[in-house]
Amino acid sequence: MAHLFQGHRIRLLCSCGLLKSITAIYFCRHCLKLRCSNCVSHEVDTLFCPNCLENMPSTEARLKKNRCANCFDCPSCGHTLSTRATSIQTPSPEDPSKTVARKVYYLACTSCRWTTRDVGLKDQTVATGGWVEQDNEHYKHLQSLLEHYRSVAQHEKLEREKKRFSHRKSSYLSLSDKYSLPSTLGRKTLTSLSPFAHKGDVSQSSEMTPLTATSEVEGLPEDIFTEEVVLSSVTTMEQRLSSPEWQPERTADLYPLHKHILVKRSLRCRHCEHNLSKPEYNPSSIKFKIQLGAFYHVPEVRMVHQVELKSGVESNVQLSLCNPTPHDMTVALLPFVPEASDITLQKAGEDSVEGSSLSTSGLVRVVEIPAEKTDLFPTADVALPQGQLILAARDDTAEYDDQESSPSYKDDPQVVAWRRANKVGVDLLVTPKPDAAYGRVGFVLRYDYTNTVATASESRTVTLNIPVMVDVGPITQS
Amino acid sequence: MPLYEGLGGIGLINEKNTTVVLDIGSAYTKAGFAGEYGPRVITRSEVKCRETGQTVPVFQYKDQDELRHHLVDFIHKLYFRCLLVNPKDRRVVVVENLLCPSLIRNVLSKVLFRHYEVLSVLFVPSHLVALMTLGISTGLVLDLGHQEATLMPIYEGVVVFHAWQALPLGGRVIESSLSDLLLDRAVAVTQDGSEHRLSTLMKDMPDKCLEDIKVRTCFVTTLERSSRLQSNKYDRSVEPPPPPTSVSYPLEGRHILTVPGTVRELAAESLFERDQDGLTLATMILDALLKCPLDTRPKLAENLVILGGTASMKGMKHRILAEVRAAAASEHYRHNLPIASFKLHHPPAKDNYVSWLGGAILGATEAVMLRSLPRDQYLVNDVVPDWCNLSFNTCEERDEKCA
Ligand SMILES: Nc1ncnc2c1ncn2[C@@H]1O[C@H](COP(=O)(O)OP(=O)(O)O)[C@@H](O)[C@H]1O
Ligand SMILES: [Zn+2]
Ligand SMILES: [Zn+2]
Ligand SMILES: [Zn+2]
Ligand SMILES: [Zn+2]
Repeated sequence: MAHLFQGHRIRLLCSCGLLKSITAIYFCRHCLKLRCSNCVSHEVDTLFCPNCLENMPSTEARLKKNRCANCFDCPSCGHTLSTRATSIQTPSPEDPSKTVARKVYYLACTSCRWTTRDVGLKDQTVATGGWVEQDNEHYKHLQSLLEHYRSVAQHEKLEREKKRFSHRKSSYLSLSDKYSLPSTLGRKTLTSLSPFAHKGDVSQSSEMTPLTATSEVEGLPEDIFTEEVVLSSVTTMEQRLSSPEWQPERTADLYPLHKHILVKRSLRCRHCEHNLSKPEYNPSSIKFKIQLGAFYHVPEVRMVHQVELKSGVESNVQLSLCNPTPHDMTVALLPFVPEASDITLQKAGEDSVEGSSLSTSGLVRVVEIPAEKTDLFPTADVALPQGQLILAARDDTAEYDDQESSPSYKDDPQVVAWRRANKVGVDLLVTPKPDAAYGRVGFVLRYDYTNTVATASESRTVTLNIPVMVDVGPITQS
Repeated sequence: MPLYEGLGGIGLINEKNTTVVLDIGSAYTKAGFAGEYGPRVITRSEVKCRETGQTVPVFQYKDQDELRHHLVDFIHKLYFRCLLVNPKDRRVVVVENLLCPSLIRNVLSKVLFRHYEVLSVLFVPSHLVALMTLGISTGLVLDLGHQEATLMPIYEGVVVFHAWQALPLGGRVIESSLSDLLLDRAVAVTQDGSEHRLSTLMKDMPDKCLEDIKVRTCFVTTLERSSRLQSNKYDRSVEPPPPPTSVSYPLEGRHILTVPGTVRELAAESLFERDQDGLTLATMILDALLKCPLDTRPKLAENLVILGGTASMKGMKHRILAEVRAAAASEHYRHNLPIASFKLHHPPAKDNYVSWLGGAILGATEAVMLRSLPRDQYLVNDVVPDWCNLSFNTCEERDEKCA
């Protein structure tokens, strides 16, 4: 895809200041600006298990720590584990002298052949579930700690408020005697109630036994100097960290891992809070409910063929412009100014967008992200075609039409090199600057955009300016 | 006091928007939720470089903008790959090393508040909150991370800041001395079955590989064996202890590297060898004690806490304790620092997430409401005042009391 759109060669200047290919850019139809992953607000839309493709509500995900109850990953290599069934002979419950066949299940990795039997986990009698969860050995202690510090902090909060309260009273009413008592009391207990010094008021806070230090610690195992190391029995860092709470050091202590779930994200414009992208709910669907990709709204620029650039020599670089919208478009190429897109905003703000911006974004306080500094320095001079041209609307049926049906546009041959359906070719004359190694030119793409969300009272077409950078190619020194 | 039961107070424990707790280390990042007993994820602190597409450490940057981009991408990954919650309008607790450059803290705040619009940020000092996991308020906390070892004494809940110590003695030093030792001594068998010195096959070893060899085969030897090995270096008549067994290690799927037993034993010795200034992990602890008020020293020495990933290395804590005792008995410290007993704590967590756990405990209390820096306040002029750091918080209260 990226290759198809020559993403690395032709990049648009996003409103946040980053250069991105058209495939990585969104077009907010409400702000009439380009947005990219750097400057939109990302949100968790839906949670799902990538293996069983079940949706998981966020409350459930929170309880299950973002892991699927039914699917497991191999603790050794990370591949998905599959359930294996086999039958074993067990004593019959009625007559212990006889044996009966029973079906049992265990988990096995088809990639590295690890099984739950390797680590001595008992086979299960049911096909799904049944695996005992591991416990945190320090659970009790940690729980009492948590309660303790919570009550300590709670006290601190109350004391603070008491203090503030009494302060206010004394300053407003100067009733020093009557109110100074709780005030000083509050102050005194404050330090001891800070979460770290629980010496003072422990009586009020919940039970907690601090751990004690010891003079001796566990040393090296006796046999470390003589025992062979079997590398395959010691876990790697990855294997340890895939269960952070336990971090098993030996492969014999590995335990099946519940599969981690994934999210579908939706994207929102930070300025108007409209969705720019929203996926369909169904985990197996790869479609979107809303997808305001720039390639549906912004004329697409491509280089027609690779040109060899010579230092100081003028070369002809042909670009194609393509109209993705179902409306005719007037297009012009103007000299490069990075701030070009800002000018549009002001213009748009004056005449049309003002009303709508009041109703939507007027109430929202936008948190601006820091401006991005991008190298926008062209390494070649460019002569742009002068004048306007009209890009025909996109017509999905045109492909199947044999006739040359396109209405004749009065094209200026100085501007339009060729025309085919909704595409037009234009020629740029590029002269690399001396000493530049790579040819890069810029221009501003000005086009009339037909706004489909605008209400009747507003003008339907707006003129937009988009700064474009073209990486023409390497320059050979002559 | 029903009057003060504000919105925040009621549902903290069952709050839907649980506070996120981040500990972004130089090598590994621990991320999870307040009130939980372990991080949801411990992942390498690495991102894809926006320009080259290569995986680089988050804290390897040319300028502030590059650091910001790294943090934006990395935090995106943490929220949308690991934690799976919206960052917007949710509180964050950041466990930070007090010795961490303020540039990093400022950029991190910018990213959290501006790019991710979090509700509030609370910076908690890693050494201080580590004590919360033990339920104590006094301790000498030594963090053995990847880049460096940092030490901070804490007395009655107050950081004794001027006694801090830091040396570049961390996991990375072990790895580089492991690399030197291997290139010097090790041989490898290539695919055609012939044996070569490792140094003829490669100029330097990949970092991932070194870490793997370190974690899976190396250990910290005993003080007694170490001194015998040392003496042997200078006086060949002293018999060295018999070396541990060697290990065959498949290297990049092509060679079989033999890791000699001596290398397994010696790699971590660099942490205990005196540098030009005569500083080691042991002297860090003793020097810090010397900088603390006299009456606090015995209690601090009986409350040592050693944490950080490198502390997990087999034999590490045992050796540090032995080294500290030996150094304390030496000419240099015996008179200035007469301390009878050193004791070590055992936190209820794996060494590499002790500080995170402290942050998670603190993050589940009202302290988050009382002490965090709220977004609105940050956005006024984009500065992180020092009070949003817990250590300054507690100091301030002390002053208030004194006044
Ligand atoms: N079991 C282990 N043995 C030896 N080194 C370890 C072990 N576990 C982690 N480490 C090392 O600890 C370091 C990471 O520690 P950590 O405290 O997470 O670092 P930081 O917080 O500085 O990123 C790494 O160098 C890693 O190789
Ligand atoms: Zn952008
Ligand atoms: Zn599943
Ligand atoms: Zn596997
Ligand atoms: Zn918008």
